[in-house]
Amino acid sequence: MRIVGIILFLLIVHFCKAQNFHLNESERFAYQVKQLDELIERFNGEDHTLIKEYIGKINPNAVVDRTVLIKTLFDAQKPDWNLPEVKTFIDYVNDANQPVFLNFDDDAWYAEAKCAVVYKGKRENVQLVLKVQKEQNNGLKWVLVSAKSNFLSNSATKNDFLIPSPQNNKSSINPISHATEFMNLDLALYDTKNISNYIARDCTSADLLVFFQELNNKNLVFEQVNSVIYHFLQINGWGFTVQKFKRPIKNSGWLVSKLTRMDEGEKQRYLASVLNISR
Amino acid sequence: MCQITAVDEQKISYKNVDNFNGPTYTKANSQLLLAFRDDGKYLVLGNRSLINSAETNGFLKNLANRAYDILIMKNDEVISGYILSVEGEKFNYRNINDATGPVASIDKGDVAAIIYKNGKHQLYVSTTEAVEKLASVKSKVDKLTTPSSAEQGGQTVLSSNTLDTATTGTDIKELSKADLERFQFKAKEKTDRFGTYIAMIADKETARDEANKSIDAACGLFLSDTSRVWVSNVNDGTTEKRFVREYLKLLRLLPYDEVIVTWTDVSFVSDLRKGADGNYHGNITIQQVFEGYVDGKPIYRDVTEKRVEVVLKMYEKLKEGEKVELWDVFLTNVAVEKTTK
Repeated sequence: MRIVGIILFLLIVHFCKAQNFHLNESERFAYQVKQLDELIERFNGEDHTLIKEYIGKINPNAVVDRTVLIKTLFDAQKPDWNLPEVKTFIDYVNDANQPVFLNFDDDAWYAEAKCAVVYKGKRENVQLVLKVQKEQNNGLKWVLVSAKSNFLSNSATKNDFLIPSPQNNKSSINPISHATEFMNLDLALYDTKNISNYIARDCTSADLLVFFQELNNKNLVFEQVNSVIYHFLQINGWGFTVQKFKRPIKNSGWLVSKLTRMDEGEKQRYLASVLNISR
Repeated sequence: MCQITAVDEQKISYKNVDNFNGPTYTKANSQLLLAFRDDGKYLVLGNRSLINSAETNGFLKNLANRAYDILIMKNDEVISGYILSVEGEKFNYRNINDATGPVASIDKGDVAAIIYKNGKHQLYVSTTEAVEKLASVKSKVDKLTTPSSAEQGGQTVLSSNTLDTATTGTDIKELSKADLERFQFKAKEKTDRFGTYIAMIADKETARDEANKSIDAACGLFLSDTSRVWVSNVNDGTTEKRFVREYLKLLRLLPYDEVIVTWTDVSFVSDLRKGADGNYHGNITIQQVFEGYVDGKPIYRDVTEKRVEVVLKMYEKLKEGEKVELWDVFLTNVAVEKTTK
């Protein structure tokens, strides 16, 4: 009982210390796009976004509509934005009659994880591309859809690797793994008995299979994910990339770094050249 | 907010949501104006003539998720639709009967109340006016909040009222949005406790025994001791991955006489999302400032962002000889990013 009392006392002391927090850090953190999920919330102009509530407390008369929210999602320090094109894009997605929204379980968006590996004793980089896949129970998971690296495409390894049936159907890369930038990807890659759980149903990437084979042969050691870039290709006529900007200003976190007009043909070429995905 | 356990023509019985095993409280209906369920169904109380036994009997019956919002207009019109956005003094919505049609707008001034599909409600008139309005349109709203059995499709939905009851129908278990929001709150509360334990563990004024108990308590918030903490330093590019207990023990070894850990009152709590494993997964992002003092002088300061993965997991427990299914939130993994000095 005494221990509980002391812990409660210390909890109260620490709550009191919290009051001294520097307000500017708090404000910067409120504006920062802290998670990809927050980017999607702001993009969709949802009613209860954190930033809307924060601004509403400071200035109840401020108008924070969807256009304002989407503008906060662009990297404001990029000098060469084509501003008329950005405006056209915002007008398109925010059309009053046909608004366009992002959904987490959309098909055509991808996470490109730039990873550090050691291949035959030499440090290399590999891009592992993931997407969200819906399962029969309506649950979601991240799955690998391709791999890209010079050493993979030049590998002499024959693509005859047989992927065994999984022993545990529930092992998966959970649908919130992006929030910790796939920090547990190593656990999935070394879960050799359940590899098929981590590969997309429609995966056709020979390089990804070579990657797994080399991992299996112990020629390849996976170290960690260094950074992640997201590629959003689900909006008709447009494609954009999102990456994390780590800087101590309000315009930071997960921001749109590139916006491009793209027709379907250009999207297919983008998938092949940038993400090594052929359809 | 409470868990209503029984309703009759005189009183409502309820439990405190923070203590489901605690006492059951009651309030006379005359002391209350409205009772809303977490699926949006409501009772108008206060005036006994407005409720009858049939209503009270049906009030606690569980319903399937409703996929649309209900707008109650001041002119007694009830609109079922999908609210898309709020722009100034207007709501943009799509009518349920024309889901692919154009977006319609209505003035906020014409709206008396909205019952959202997630069960939340918002009143746009005074409470007295709202009570009258909700009473007058109740039969219309009840038709929308009480779907036919065919619409329910036999799928069981757990609401907070039935959280620990066994399910029927298919074996696919879904949690209602209201349940998920309650667990989001619990996840945030557990994350805050984790932050508090970190501060206590790092604080040299905390006695060793107390610190060890705090380490145990902090680890108890996690799904298992194999949960990991990944620390990356933006300033020098270094990263390190440790098991949670190891990470917490290292906090005791920091070379400062005094440590102050503070955190913002701003935090991002993601939606809980169902995974392929049947559990629900979410993330909470908080920001902390760490300050280390030696001889009363600050010699180290950093701002860290902690991204905490949480899982809402079902487990089975024997209760009075019967197996019951319960859900609880656990922290799983933490990414710590040191951002600024």
